[in-house]
Amino acid sequence: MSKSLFTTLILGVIIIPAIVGTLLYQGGRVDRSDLENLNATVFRVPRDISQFELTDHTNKTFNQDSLKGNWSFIFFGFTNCPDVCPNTLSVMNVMANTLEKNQPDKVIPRFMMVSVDPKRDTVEVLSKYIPYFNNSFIGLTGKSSEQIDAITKQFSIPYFIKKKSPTDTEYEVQHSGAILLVNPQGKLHALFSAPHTPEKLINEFTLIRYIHEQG
Amino acid sequence: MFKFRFLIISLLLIFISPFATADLTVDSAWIREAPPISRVQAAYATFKNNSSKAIELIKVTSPAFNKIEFHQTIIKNGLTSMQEQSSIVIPAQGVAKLEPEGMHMMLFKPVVPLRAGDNVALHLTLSSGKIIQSNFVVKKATGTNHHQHMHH
Repeated sequence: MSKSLFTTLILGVIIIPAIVGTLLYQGGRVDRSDLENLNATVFRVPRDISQFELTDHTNKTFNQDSLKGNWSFIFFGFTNCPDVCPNTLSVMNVMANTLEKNQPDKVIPRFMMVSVDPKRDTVEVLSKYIPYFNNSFIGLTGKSSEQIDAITKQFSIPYFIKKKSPTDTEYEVQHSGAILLVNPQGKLHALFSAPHTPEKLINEFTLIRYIHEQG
Repeated sequence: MFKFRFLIISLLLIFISPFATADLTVDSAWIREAPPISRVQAAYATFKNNSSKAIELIKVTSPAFNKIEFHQTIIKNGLTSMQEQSSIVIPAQGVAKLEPEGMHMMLFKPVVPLRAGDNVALHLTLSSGKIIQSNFVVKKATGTNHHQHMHH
């Protein structure tokens, strides 16, 4: 091996990348490996979302294509839930307001709750429930459990309706506390496990979005 | 008029304070304002036991609600559920905290919808048979008063 080739190799393979890496690092550059330290589960390859059809709280059809064009945070809950659901929606409201204030140059993501209790959570119920938390939030329900399952199954979101008797109308629904993140390409991008805080969600989302936008 | 009202309140406070230093004190007592249409909501508080014996809270009633139960929110294997509890035990010289996504009182069907700022009396029955009346304030939760522990 000639001396000049050796020098080129050393420079090319070791020294220059090291310098570039250091410079990038000092410039605050982040990369995919930073995602490993998050609480969120970020999918290496965002997952395709196959067909589903729900109705939003303004009575418009909402399907897999409706998810495209913006980041979406999706939570699964029900309106007769006294603790976790209103708490999560309040957390999402703080998140929306903080993002609007702190990142005015960015488009505010969408926030939605899919009801896992379509029998009680009609479009009318959701139209009164959802805007209470934030006027821009979207409530989604289905005409049947099958329509709900079309989205929960592909997102691996478990839920169980716990009726104490066939006529029980105060039943509880056990459900996932997770918040899912869908990217502007309409693909499932990440999953945040409960419990949630607005600060943690904002920090992690900002990093996830930055890395996604860098390609 | 204002001064007179202040005097009345001060006098009331003087009379009430001996009860506040009783065996059981109730702090940070609040009820989450229910979103429209929702017929259930949760009440939270910090119970402090100043005595040397455990205190058991066995029943809660209120003229403002049809039914009240003790519930523990459990987040396990990614699934959120609520488990009804028969009572809440406040250990001797200890504290029982009822807080979002933890232990709470589940309030069913308010007699009239309650709005932020309303005050509601809850009647707490202890296993000794003693009944304590405690005042709960209805608040619209902002999401920022969420407890910060993430390690469970």
